[in-house]
Amino acid sequence: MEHALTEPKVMVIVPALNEAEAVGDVVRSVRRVMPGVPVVVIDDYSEDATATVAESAGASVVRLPVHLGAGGCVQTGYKMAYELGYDYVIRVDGDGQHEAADIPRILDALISTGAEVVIGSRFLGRDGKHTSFPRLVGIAFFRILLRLILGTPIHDPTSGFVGVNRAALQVFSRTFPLEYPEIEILVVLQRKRFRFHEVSCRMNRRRTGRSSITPFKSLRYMLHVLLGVFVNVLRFEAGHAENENKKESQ
Amino acid sequence: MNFHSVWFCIGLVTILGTLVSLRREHIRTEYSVSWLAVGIFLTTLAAWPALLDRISGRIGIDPEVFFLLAGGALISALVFEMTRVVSRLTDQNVMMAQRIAILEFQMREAATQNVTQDA
Repeated sequence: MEHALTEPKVMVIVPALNEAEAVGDVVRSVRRVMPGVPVVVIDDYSEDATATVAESAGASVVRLPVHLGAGGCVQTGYKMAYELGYDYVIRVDGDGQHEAADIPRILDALISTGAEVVIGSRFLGRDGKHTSFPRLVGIAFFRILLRLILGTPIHDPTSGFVGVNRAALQVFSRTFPLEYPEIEILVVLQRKRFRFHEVSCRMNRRRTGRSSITPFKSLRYMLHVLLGVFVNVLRFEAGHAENENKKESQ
Repeated sequence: MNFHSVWFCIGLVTILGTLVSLRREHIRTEYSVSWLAVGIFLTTLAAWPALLDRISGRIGIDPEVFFLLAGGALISALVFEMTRVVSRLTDQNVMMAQRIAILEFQMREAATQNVTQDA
């Protein structure tokens, strides 16, 4: 009952690497849309003034002492939010691609559907413009692969616009892929029997910097993610077999 | 120099190199055991060709081929072990970096609150 009467604790995390030109606007827009909600920028050892700009814009800044990559950076935010007792965390990229105005819809979906993870999809009812051709090819490939593994369609498996609840926070604060986490976590979710939900979101052109997924890195990205998915499927099968054995022994 | 002499020298250099590095504390004792085992394996078989002939004869392959295959397998096992060690250390480093960042953040937040209260 007490939970029903109290407001859920929500945090917005913004992983950022060398985003000094964009992160200020991102923080200001999030604070405008979500007043009173803490905005925490996780600075992945930027070489520019990302941390200072974010602080000036009103964000709290967690400064990583070394570069950890996207996964390690996001996991830092999840760990902190979990330890501080937050119920929901919304991740918004620091490059300005995500619309802060869509955050309440992700939060509403988290609360109303009870899904552990809600993904902001640029393709659900939209054309996914501002997405590069190599990325579109990769997304199409992983859509088919994940449809087979998850048994349910996912429109935007590489989206970084993600909301999670406390159950997912607990899992992700312990285990989270260090590189290219977006696709792998979907298989982790499946393994944990968690649910995910997609909501339609706008996607802007990135304002500054370079995407971590360039055409030259596409092959490495595909192989890396495929391996990660494969390993998680193996873990899922192992876990499934263990559960079956337990049932039989009972 | 024949085949056995070359491998005897390589084995000896491996043992000596490992011991010198240990003495200078360039490598840790727990990681030196595998290298010493490789060195002892190489020198033993190179110093006693009869032993090498006997083992390879039982398996049914040429002694030189057996020697290279066994040495290659040992080195591969070593590299694999090192990969495991590096992976474990990477995980530990990530955890520590995250912990430091979170603690530093909480300390700064606490200090800011104290300053605000004092004012």
